[in-house]
Amino acid sequence: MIIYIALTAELEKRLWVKEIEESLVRDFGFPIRKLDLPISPESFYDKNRRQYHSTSILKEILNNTPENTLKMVGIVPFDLFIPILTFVFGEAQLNGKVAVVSTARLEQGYYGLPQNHLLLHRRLIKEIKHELGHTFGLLHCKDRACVMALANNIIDVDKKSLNFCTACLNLLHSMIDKIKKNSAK
Amino acid sequence: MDDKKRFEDCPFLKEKKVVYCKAYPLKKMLPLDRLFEDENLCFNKSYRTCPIYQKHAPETMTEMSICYFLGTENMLYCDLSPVKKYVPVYSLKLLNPCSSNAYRDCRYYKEFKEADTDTEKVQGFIMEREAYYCSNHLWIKRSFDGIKIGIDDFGQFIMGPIKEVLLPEKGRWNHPKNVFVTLKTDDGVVILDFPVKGYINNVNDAVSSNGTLINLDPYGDGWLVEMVPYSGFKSIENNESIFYGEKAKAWLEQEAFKLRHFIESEIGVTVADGGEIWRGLRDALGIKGNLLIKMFFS
Ligand code: SF4
Ligand code: SF4
Ligand SMILES: [Zn+2]
Ligand SMILES: [Zn+2]
Repeated sequence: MIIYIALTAELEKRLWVKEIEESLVRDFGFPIRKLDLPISPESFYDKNRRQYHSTSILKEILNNTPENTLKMVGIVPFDLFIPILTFVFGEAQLNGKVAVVSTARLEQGYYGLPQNHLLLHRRLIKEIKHELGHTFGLLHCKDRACVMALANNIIDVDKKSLNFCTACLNLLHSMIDKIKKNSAK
Repeated sequence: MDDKKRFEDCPFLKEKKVVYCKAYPLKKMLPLDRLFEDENLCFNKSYRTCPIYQKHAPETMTEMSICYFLGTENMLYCDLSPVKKYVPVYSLKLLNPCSSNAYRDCRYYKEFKEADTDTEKVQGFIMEREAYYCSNHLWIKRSFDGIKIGIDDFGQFIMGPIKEVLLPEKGRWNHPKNVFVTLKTDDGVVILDFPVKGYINNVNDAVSSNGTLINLDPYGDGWLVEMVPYSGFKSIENNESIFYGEKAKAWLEQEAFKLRHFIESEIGVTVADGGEIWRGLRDALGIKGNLLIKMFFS
Protein backbone atom coordinates (compact mmCIF):
# COMPACT_ATOMS: atom_id res chain seq x y z
CA MET A 1 0.00 0.00 0.00
CA ILE A 2 1.45 3.25 -1.19
CA ILE A 3 0.79 6.92 -0.71
CA TYR A 4 1.20 8.56 -4.09
CA ILE A 5 2.15 12.14 -4.71
CA ALA A 6 1.02 12.89 -8.23
CA LEU A 7 2.40 16.00 -9.89
CA THR A 8 1.90 17.72 -13.18
CA ALA A 9 4.98 17.68 -15.40
CA GLU A 10 5.65 21.36 -14.87
CA LEU A 11 5.59 21.07 -11.08
CA GLU A 12 7.72 17.98 -11.10
CA LYS A 13 10.48 20.00 -12.65
CA ARG A 14 10.20 22.86 -10.19
CA LEU A 15 9.55 21.19 -6.88
CA TRP A 16 11.91 19.42 -4.53
CA VAL A 17 9.98 16.18 -4.69
CA LYS A 18 12.48 14.15 -2.66
CA GLU A 19 12.27 16.56 0.24
CA ILE A 20 8.51 16.53 0.12
CA GLU A 21 8.46 12.73 0.19
CA GLU A 22 10.85 12.60 3.10
CA SER A 23 8.83 15.04 5.15
CA LEU A 24 5.76 12.84 4.78
CA VAL A 25 7.18 9.43 5.56
CA ARG A 26 7.65 10.09 9.25
CA ASP A 27 4.05 11.05 9.96
CA PHE A 28 2.24 8.62 7.73
CA GLY A 29 4.35 5.49 7.98
CA PHE A 30 3.62 4.19 4.48
CA PRO A 31 5.94 4.28 1.50
CA ILE A 32 5.59 7.52 -0.48
CA ARG A 33 6.03 7.49 -4.26
CA LYS A 34 5.75 10.15 -6.85
CA LEU A 35 3.69 9.76 -9.96
CA ASP A 36 2.86 11.75 -13.08
CA LEU A 37 -0.46 13.48 -13.07
CA PRO A 38 -1.46 13.63 -16.70
CA ILE A 39 -4.42 15.97 -16.58
CA SER A 40 -5.46 18.59 -19.06
CA PRO A 41 -6.52 21.66 -17.13
CA GLU A 42 -8.82 23.04 -19.85
CA SER A 43 -11.55 20.58 -19.04
CA PHE A 44 -11.72 21.83 -15.44
CA TYR A 45 -11.65 25.52 -16.21
CA ASP A 46 -14.66 27.58 -15.28
CA LYS A 47 -15.02 30.68 -17.42
CA ASN A 48 -17.14 32.58 -14.93
CA ARG A 49 -14.93 31.97 -11.98
CA ARG A 50 -11.70 32.02 -14.00
CA GLN A 51 -10.49 29.22 -11.79
CA TYR A 52 -10.34 25.46 -11.92
CA HIS A 53 -12.96 23.27 -10.37
CA SER A 54 -11.38 21.38 -7.53
CA THR A 55 -13.92 18.61 -7.08
CA SER A 56 -13.79 17.59 -10.76
CA ILE A 57 -10.04 17.37 -10.56
CA LEU A 58 -10.45 15.25 -7.46
CA LYS A 59 -12.63 12.85 -9.44
CA GLU A 60 -10.09 12.75 -12.22
CA ILE A 61 -7.38 11.88 -9.73
CA LEU A 62 -9.55 9.13 -8.33
CA ASN A 63 -9.82 7.68 -11.84
CA ASN A 64 -6.05 7.57 -12.11
CA THR A 65 -5.14 5.70 -8.94
CA PRO A 66 -2.97 2.61 -9.40
CA GLU A 67 -4.11 -0.71 -7.94
CA ASN A 68 -1.95 -0.50 -4.82
CA THR A 69 -2.99 3.02 -3.86
CA LEU A 70 -3.66 3.69 -0.21
CA LYS A 71 -3.94 7.44 -0.70
CA MET A 72 -3.11 9.76 -3.55
CA VAL A 73 -2.56 13.51 -3.44
CA GLY A 74 -2.57 15.40 -6.70
CA ILE A 75 -0.55 18.60 -6.79
CA VAL A 76 -1.52 21.15 -9.40
CA PRO A 77 -0.36 24.65 -10.22
CA PHE A 78 -3.77 26.12 -11.03
CA ASP A 79 -5.97 28.21 -8.79
CA LEU A 80 -8.76 25.98 -7.52
CA PHE A 81 -12.29 26.71 -6.38
CA ILE A 82 -15.39 24.94 -5.25
CA PRO A 83 -18.70 26.64 -5.89
CA ILE A 84 -19.25 27.74 -2.31
CA LEU A 85 -15.82 29.21 -1.67
CA THR A 86 -13.90 32.03 -3.26
CA PHE A 87 -10.94 29.69 -3.65
CA VAL A 88 -9.46 26.58 -2.10
CA PHE A 89 -5.92 25.63 -1.17
CA GLY A 90 -6.95 22.00 -1.36
CA GLU A 91 -9.74 19.52 -1.09
CA ALA A 92 -9.91 15.95 0.13
CA GLN A 93 -12.27 13.03 0.40
CA LEU A 94 -12.92 12.68 4.08
CA ASN A 95 -11.83 9.20 5.05
CA GLY A 96 -11.32 8.46 1.38
CA LYS A 97 -8.58 7.89 -1.10
CA VAL A 98 -7.71 11.10 -2.83
CA ALA A 99 -6.91 14.74 -2.25
CA VAL A 100 -5.77 17.68 -4.31
CA VAL A 101 -3.55 20.63 -3.39
CA SER A 102 -2.95 23.77 -5.42
CA THR A 103 0.36 25.58 -5.35
CA ALA A 104 -1.15 28.72 -6.95
CA ARG A 105 -1.80 30.65 -3.76
CA LEU A 106 1.13 29.19 -1.91
CA GLU A 107 3.52 31.09 -4.16
CA GLN A 108 4.79 34.47 -3.00
CA GLY A 109 4.44 35.59 -6.59
CA TYR A 110 0.69 35.35 -6.29
CA TYR A 111 0.81 38.17 -3.76
CA GLY A 112 3.13 40.25 -5.84
CA LEU A 113 6.20 39.24 -3.85
CA PRO A 114 9.48 37.77 -5.03
CA GLN A 115 9.50 34.00 -5.27
CA ASN A 116 10.58 32.13 -2.18
CA HIS A 117 11.13 28.49 -2.92
CA LEU A 118 11.73 27.46 0.65
CA LEU A 119 8.56 29.11 1.87
CA LEU A 120 6.61 27.56 -0.99
CA HIS A 121 7.77 24.13 0.13
CA ARG A 122 6.95 24.74 3.76
CA ARG A 123 3.46 25.78 2.80
CA LEU A 124 3.05 22.93 0.37
CA ILE A 125 4.11 20.31 2.88
CA LYS A 126 1.64 21.74 5.38
CA GLU A 127 -1.17 21.56 2.86
CA ILE A 128 -0.28 18.05 1.70
CA LYS A 129 -0.18 16.83 5.28
CA HIS A 130 -3.44 18.58 6.01
CA GLU A 131 -5.29 17.07 3.06
CA LEU A 132 -3.77 13.65 3.67
CA GLY A 133 -4.98 14.00 7.24
CA HIS A 134 -8.51 14.42 5.92
CA THR A 135 -8.19 11.29 3.82
CA PHE A 136 -7.32 9.45 7.04
CA GLY A 137 -10.53 10.80 8.56
CA LEU A 138 -9.13 13.74 10.52
CA LEU A 139 -11.31 16.81 10.85
CA HIS A 140 -10.29 20.40 11.38
CA CYS A 141 -8.43 21.05 14.58
CA LYS A 142 -9.09 24.00 16.90
CA ASP A 143 -5.40 24.22 17.75
CA ARG A 144 -4.20 27.07 15.53
CA ALA A 145 -0.70 25.67 15.42
CA CYS A 146 -1.76 22.18 14.39
CA VAL A 147 -1.37 21.34 10.75
CA MET A 148 -5.03 20.28 10.73
CA ALA A 149 -6.22 23.82 11.53
CA LEU A 150 -8.46 25.29 8.87
CA ALA A 151 -6.78 27.97 6.78
CA ASN A 152 -8.88 30.68 5.20
CA ASN A 153 -5.95 32.61 3.87
CA ILE A 154 -2.20 32.43 3.42
CA ILE A 155 -1.54 34.05 6.79
CA ASP A 156 -3.38 31.16 8.44
CA VAL A 157 -1.24 28.72 6.49
CA ASP A 158 1.93 30.45 7.62
CA LYS A 159 0.73 30.61 11.19
CA LYS A 160 0.31 26.89 11.61
CA SER A 161 3.23 24.57 12.12
CA LEU A 162 4.34 21.65 9.99
CA ASN A 163 3.20 19.23 12.68
CA PHE A 164 0.11 17.52 13.92
CA CYS A 165 -0.82 18.35 17.50
CA THR A 166 -0.68 15.45 19.93
CA ALA A 167 -4.40 14.79 19.71
CA CYS A 168 -4.45 14.72 15.92
CA LEU A 169 -1.28 12.67 15.77
CA ASN A 170 -2.74 10.04 18.09
CA LEU A 171 -5.87 9.90 16.01
CA LEU A 172 -3.86 9.60 12.83
CA HIS A 173 -1.74 6.79 14.26
CA SER A 174 -4.77 4.86 15.43
CA MET A 175 -6.22 5.15 11.91
CA ILE A 176 -2.95 3.98 10.42
CA ASP A 177 -2.77 1.05 12.85
CA LYS A 178 -6.27 0.03 11.92
CA ILE A 179 -5.40 0.03 8.24
CA LYS A 180 -2.25 -1.97 8.84
CA LYS A 181 -4.08 -4.54 10.95
CA ASN A 182 -6.83 -4.95 8.40
CA SER A 183 -4.41 -5.48 5.57
CA ALA A 184 -2.41 -8.03 7.57
CA LYS A 185 -5.47 -10.22 7.88
CA MET B 1 -5.34 39.79 -11.54
CA ASP B 2 -3.76 42.63 -13.42
CA ASP B 3 -0.34 43.78 -12.41
CA LYS B 4 -1.38 47.26 -11.45
CA LYS B 5 -3.57 45.94 -8.70
CA ARG B 6 -1.00 43.48 -7.65
CA PHE B 7 1.54 46.12 -6.84
CA GLU B 8 -0.75 48.57 -5.22
CA ASP B 9 0.78 49.93 -2.00
CA CYS B 10 -0.86 49.56 1.36
CA PRO B 11 -2.54 52.86 2.20
CA PHE B 12 -0.80 52.81 5.57
CA LEU B 13 2.63 52.59 4.11
CA LYS B 14 4.07 56.03 4.67
CA GLU B 15 7.21 57.66 3.46
CA LYS B 16 9.22 60.05 5.52
CA LYS B 17 12.53 61.81 5.33
CA VAL B 18 14.68 60.89 8.25
CA VAL B 19 18.03 62.15 9.42
CA TYR B 20 20.86 60.39 11.07
CA CYS B 21 24.33 61.04 12.23
CA LYS B 22 26.90 59.56 9.91
CA ALA B 23 29.59 59.79 12.54
CA TYR B 24 27.66 58.06 15.26
CA PRO B 25 28.33 54.30 15.28
CA LEU B 26 24.65 53.42 15.58
CA LYS B 27 22.59 54.45 12.64
CA LYS B 28 19.64 55.80 14.51
CA MET B 29 16.96 57.32 12.37
CA LEU B 30 15.07 60.39 13.41
CA PRO B 31 12.12 61.62 11.46
CA LEU B 32 12.87 65.08 10.21
CA ASP B 33 9.64 66.69 11.24
CA ARG B 34 10.04 65.54 14.81
CA LEU B 35 13.21 67.45 15.47
CA PHE B 36 13.17 71.05 16.49
CA GLU B 37 15.78 72.40 14.30
CA ASP B 38 16.94 75.21 16.56
CA GLU B 39 17.21 73.00 19.56
CA ASN B 40 19.26 70.40 17.85
CA LEU B 41 22.87 71.19 17.49
CA CYS B 42 23.24 69.16 14.30
CA PHE B 43 21.20 71.74 12.41
CA ASN B 44 23.09 74.86 13.27
CA LYS B 45 26.54 76.09 13.86
CA SER B 46 26.75 74.72 17.33
CA TYR B 47 27.44 71.33 15.78
CA ARG B 48 31.04 72.24 16.44
CA THR B 49 30.46 71.75 20.13
CA CYS B 50 29.20 68.22 19.58
CA PRO B 51 31.59 65.66 21.09
CA ILE B 52 30.93 63.23 18.28
CA TYR B 53 31.73 65.87 15.75
CA GLN B 54 34.90 66.85 17.55
CA LYS B 55 36.02 63.26 17.66
CA HIS B 56 35.47 62.53 13.99
CA ALA B 57 35.91 65.77 12.17
CA PRO B 58 39.06 66.17 10.09
CA GLU B 59 41.26 69.00 11.23
CA THR B 60 40.84 71.18 8.22
CA MET B 61 37.14 71.49 8.05
CA THR B 62 35.44 74.50 6.58
CA GLU B 63 32.60 75.88 8.56
CA MET B 64 29.11 74.84 7.44
CA SER B 65 25.65 75.91 8.46
CA ILE B 66 24.67 72.41 9.44
CA CYS B 67 26.82 69.54 10.55
CA TYR B 68 28.81 67.80 7.89
CA PHE B 69 27.89 64.41 9.35
CA LEU B 70 24.19 64.92 9.11
CA GLY B 71 22.74 62.38 6.68
CA THR B 72 19.23 62.15 5.31
CA GLU B 73 17.42 59.27 3.76
CA ASN B 74 13.92 58.46 2.54
CA MET B 75 12.36 55.86 4.73
CA LEU B 76 9.17 53.91 4.75
CA TYR B 77 7.23 52.95 7.80
CA CYS B 78 3.92 51.43 8.72
CA ASP B 79 1.54 53.97 10.14
CA LEU B 80 -0.36 51.28 12.01
CA SER B 81 2.32 49.16 13.54
CA PRO B 82 2.73 49.96 17.24
CA VAL B 83 6.47 50.22 16.87
CA LYS B 84 7.54 52.72 14.29
CA LYS B 85 10.30 51.06 12.41
CA TYR B 86 11.86 52.98 9.65
CA VAL B 87 13.25 51.06 6.76
CA PRO B 88 14.97 52.44 3.71
CA VAL B 89 12.69 52.83 0.71
CA TYR B 90 14.53 50.33 -1.40
CA SER B 91 14.43 47.48 1.09
CA LEU B 92 10.73 47.61 1.77
CA LYS B 93 9.93 47.86 -1.88
CA LEU B 94 11.59 44.52 -2.34
CA LEU B 95 9.82 42.05 -0.14
CA ASN B 96 6.94 43.17 1.89
CA PRO B 97 3.21 42.87 1.87
CA CYS B 98 3.14 46.64 2.28
CA SER B 99 4.00 47.28 -1.32
CA SER B 100 1.82 44.66 -2.93
CA ASN B 101 -1.82 43.77 -2.70
CA ALA B 102 -0.91 41.24 -0.02
CA TYR B 103 -1.27 44.10 2.44
CA ARG B 104 -4.92 43.16 2.68
CA ASP B 105 -3.85 40.09 4.58
CA CYS B 106 -1.56 42.01 6.88
CA ARG B 107 -2.47 41.79 10.55
CA TYR B 108 -2.16 45.50 11.21
CA TYR B 109 -4.12 46.41 8.16
CA LYS B 110 -6.90 43.99 8.99
CA GLU B 111 -7.12 45.01 12.61
CA PHE B 112 -7.31 48.62 11.63
CA LYS B 113 -9.93 48.04 8.97
CA GLU B 114 -12.05 46.17 11.43
CA ALA B 115 -11.67 48.61 14.25
CA ASP B 116 -12.19 51.56 11.97
CA THR B 117 -15.56 50.66 10.54
CA ASP B 118 -18.89 49.85 12.08
CA THR B 119 -19.03 46.58 10.25
CA GLU B 120 -16.99 43.46 10.10
CA LYS B 121 -17.08 40.27 8.14
CA VAL B 122 -17.60 36.87 9.66
CA GLN B 123 -16.86 34.09 7.18
CA GLY B 124 -17.67 36.52 4.42
CA PHE B 125 -20.93 37.81 5.91
CA ILE B 126 -21.27 41.40 7.05
CA MET B 127 -22.17 42.18 10.63
CA GLU B 128 -22.81 45.55 12.14
CA ARG B 129 -21.07 46.03 15.44
CA GLU B 130 -23.75 47.99 17.18
CA ALA B 131 -26.54 45.57 16.29
CA TYR B 132 -28.06 42.79 18.38
CA TYR B 133 -28.81 39.58 16.54
CA CYS B 134 -31.73 37.18 17.01
CA SER B 135 -31.37 33.53 16.14
CA ASN B 136 -33.83 33.99 13.26
CA HIS B 137 -31.46 36.52 11.66
CA LEU B 138 -33.29 39.65 12.61
CA TRP B 139 -31.09 42.46 13.81
CA ILE B 140 -32.04 45.05 16.39
CA LYS B 141 -30.51 48.48 16.73
CA ARG B 142 -31.37 51.24 19.14
CA SER B 143 -33.27 54.06 17.50
CA PHE B 144 -34.39 57.48 18.60
CA ASP B 145 -37.26 56.37 20.77
CA GLY B 146 -37.10 52.61 20.67
CA ILE B 147 -35.60 50.00 18.40
CA LYS B 148 -35.19 49.41 14.72
CA ILE B 149 -35.47 45.90 13.31
CA GLY B 150 -34.18 44.41 10.07
CA ILE B 151 -32.80 41.24 8.53
CA ASP B 152 -29.10 40.48 8.71
CA ASP B 153 -26.81 39.88 5.76
CA PHE B 154 -26.68 36.14 6.27
CA GLY B 155 -30.47 35.97 6.47
CA GLN B 156 -31.01 37.81 3.20
CA PHE B 157 -28.39 35.63 1.53
CA ILE B 158 -30.20 32.45 2.59
CA MET B 159 -33.55 33.76 1.39
CA GLY B 160 -32.26 34.97 -1.95
CA PRO B 161 -34.10 37.71 -3.82
CA ILE B 162 -37.01 38.88 -1.69
CA LYS B 163 -40.11 39.40 -3.80
CA GLU B 164 -42.73 40.53 -1.34
CA VAL B 165 -42.71 41.86 2.18
CA LEU B 166 -45.70 42.01 4.50
CA LEU B 167 -44.95 44.25 7.43
CA PRO B 168 -47.07 44.51 10.55
CA GLU B 169 -49.32 47.55 10.68
CA LYS B 170 -48.53 50.49 12.82
CA GLY B 171 -49.98 49.31 16.10
CA ARG B 172 -51.38 50.77 19.28
CA TRP B 173 -50.12 50.55 22.82
CA ASN B 174 -53.11 48.78 24.19
CA HIS B 175 -53.06 45.87 21.77
CA PRO B 176 -49.97 43.90 22.49
CA LYS B 177 -49.76 41.19 19.91
CA ASN B 178 -47.08 38.91 18.73
CA VAL B 179 -45.70 40.74 15.75
CA PHE B 180 -43.97 39.27 12.75
CA VAL B 181 -42.94 39.92 9.18
CA THR B 182 -43.76 37.72 6.20
CA LEU B 183 -41.32 37.51 3.31
CA LYS B 184 -41.97 35.85 -0.03
CA THR B 185 -39.08 34.52 -2.08
CA ASP B 186 -38.77 32.25 -5.10
CA ASP B 187 -37.96 29.42 -2.75
CA GLY B 188 -40.80 29.82 -0.33
CA VAL B 189 -42.31 31.98 2.35
CA VAL B 190 -40.43 32.95 5.48
CA ILE B 191 -42.16 34.21 8.59
CA LEU B 192 -39.99 35.90 11.16
CA ASP B 193 -41.32 36.59 14.64
CA PHE B 194 -40.06 39.71 16.27
CA PRO B 195 -38.28 38.96 19.48
CA VAL B 196 -40.17 41.45 21.61
CA LYS B 197 -43.67 42.81 21.83
CA GLY B 198 -44.33 46.48 21.59
CA TYR B 199 -45.78 49.40 19.80
CA ILE B 200 -44.95 49.64 16.10
CA ASN B 201 -44.43 53.30 15.52
CA ASN B 202 -42.95 53.18 12.06
CA VAL B 203 -42.72 50.80 9.12
CA ASN B 204 -40.46 51.00 6.09
CA ASP B 205 -42.87 51.49 3.21
CA ALA B 206 -40.06 51.44 0.69
CA VAL B 207 -39.36 47.83 1.61
CA SER B 208 -42.97 46.71 1.30
CA SER B 209 -42.98 47.77 -2.32
CA ASN B 210 -39.44 46.67 -3.07
CA GLY B 211 -38.14 43.67 -1.13
CA THR B 212 -34.78 43.63 -2.87
CA LEU B 213 -33.85 46.63 -0.76
CA ILE B 214 -33.30 44.08 1.98
CA ASN B 215 -30.94 42.13 -0.26
CA LEU B 216 -29.08 45.22 -1.32
CA ASP B 217 -28.72 47.05 1.97
CA PRO B 218 -29.83 44.83 4.83
CA TYR B 219 -28.60 47.12 7.61
CA GLY B 220 -29.52 50.39 5.94
CA ASP B 221 -32.35 51.08 3.52
CA GLY B 222 -33.63 47.54 3.99
CA TRP B 223 -34.78 48.07 7.59
CA LEU B 224 -38.26 46.78 8.43
CA VAL B 225 -39.91 48.49 11.38
CA GLU B 226 -39.30 50.77 14.28
CA MET B 227 -40.96 49.88 17.53
CA VAL B 228 -41.10 50.66 21.21
CA PRO B 229 -40.71 47.44 23.15
CA TYR B 230 -43.10 47.06 26.05
CA SER B 231 -40.45 46.12 28.48
CA GLY B 232 -37.79 48.50 27.28
CA PHE B 233 -34.35 47.82 25.88
CA LYS B 234 -33.40 45.77 28.92
CA SER B 235 -35.65 43.00 27.62
CA ILE B 236 -33.36 42.74 24.62
CA GLU B 237 -30.10 42.95 26.51
CA ASN B 238 -31.26 40.30 28.95
CA ASN B 239 -32.68 37.96 26.35
CA GLU B 240 -30.43 34.92 26.14
CA SER B 241 -31.27 34.13 22.55
CA ILE B 242 -30.30 37.59 21.35
CA PHE B 243 -26.60 37.91 20.67
CA TYR B 244 -24.29 40.86 20.79
CA GLY B 245 -20.58 41.48 20.21
CA GLU B 246 -18.31 38.47 20.51
CA LYS B 247 -21.25 36.17 21.16
CA ALA B 248 -22.93 37.34 17.98
CA LYS B 249 -19.75 36.73 16.04
CA ALA B 250 -19.41 33.20 17.39
CA TRP B 251 -23.04 32.52 16.62
CA LEU B 252 -22.78 33.74 13.02
CA GLU B 253 -19.63 31.74 12.54
CA GLN B 254 -21.55 28.62 13.55
CA GLU B 255 -24.31 29.49 11.10
CA ALA B 256 -21.75 29.93 8.32
CA PHE B 257 -20.19 26.56 9.13
CA LYS B 258 -23.62 25.00 9.07
CA LEU B 259 -24.13 26.46 5.62
CA ARG B 260 -20.77 25.30 4.46
CA HIS B 261 -21.34 21.78 5.64
CA PHE B 262 -24.80 21.67 4.16
CA ILE B 263 -23.53 22.60 0.74
CA GLU B 264 -20.50 20.39 0.99
CA SER B 265 -22.66 17.41 1.75
CA GLU B 266 -24.95 18.35 -1.14
CA ILE B 267 -21.97 18.02 -3.42
CA GLY B 268 -20.39 14.93 -1.90
CA VAL B 269 -18.37 14.20 1.15
CA THR B 270 -15.22 16.17 0.63
CA VAL B 271 -13.60 18.77 2.83
CA ALA B 272 -12.09 21.88 1.39
CA ASP B 273 -9.75 24.48 2.78
CA GLY B 274 -9.81 27.94 1.45
CA GLY B 275 -11.34 31.35 1.21
CA GLU B 276 -14.68 32.75 2.16
CA ILE B 277 -18.15 31.72 1.14
CA TRP B 278 -18.67 32.83 -2.41
CA ARG B 279 -21.58 35.22 -2.79
CA GLY B 280 -22.46 34.23 -6.34
CA LEU B 281 -23.21 30.79 -5.01
CA ARG B 282 -26.99 30.74 -5.09
CA ASP B 283 -27.29 31.59 -8.76
CA ALA B 284 -24.36 29.64 -10.02
CA LEU B 285 -25.13 26.46 -8.23
CA GLY B 286 -28.88 26.40 -8.56
CA ILE B 287 -28.60 25.49 -4.94
CA LYS B 288 -31.77 24.13 -3.44
CA GLY B 289 -32.95 27.34 -1.87
CA ASN B 290 -36.00 25.80 -0.28
CA LEU B 291 -33.77 23.44 1.69
CA LEU B 292 -31.59 26.32 2.80
CA ILE B 293 -34.61 28.26 3.99
CA LYS B 294 -35.90 25.25 5.85
CA MET B 295 -32.58 24.74 7.49
CA PHE B 296 -32.15 28.28 8.79
CA PHE B 297 -35.69 29.51 9.28
CA SER B 298 -37.64 26.72 10.87
S1 SF4 C 1 26.25 67.41 15.40
FE1 SF4 C 1 27.03 66.21 13.73
S2 SF4 C 1 28.38 64.75 14.65
FE2 SF4 C 1 27.15 65.59 16.29
S3 SF4 C 1 25.42 64.18 16.43
FE3 SF4 C 1 24.79 65.80 15.06
S4 SF4 C 1 25.28 65.01 13.04
FE4 SF4 C 1 26.41 63.77 14.49
S1 SF4 D 1 2.65 46.52 7.96
FE1 SF4 D 1 0.61 46.09 7.17
S2 SF4 D 1 -0.61 47.89 7.62
FE2 SF4 D 1 1.54 48.45 7.85
S3 SF4 D 1 2.11 49.29 5.86
FE3 SF4 D 1 2.63 47.15 5.84
S4 SF4 D 1 0.84 46.12 4.98
FE4 SF4 D 1 0.19 48.17 5.59
ZN1 LIG E 1 -4.69 19.04 15.86
ZN1 LIG F 1 -9.06 20.98 5.90
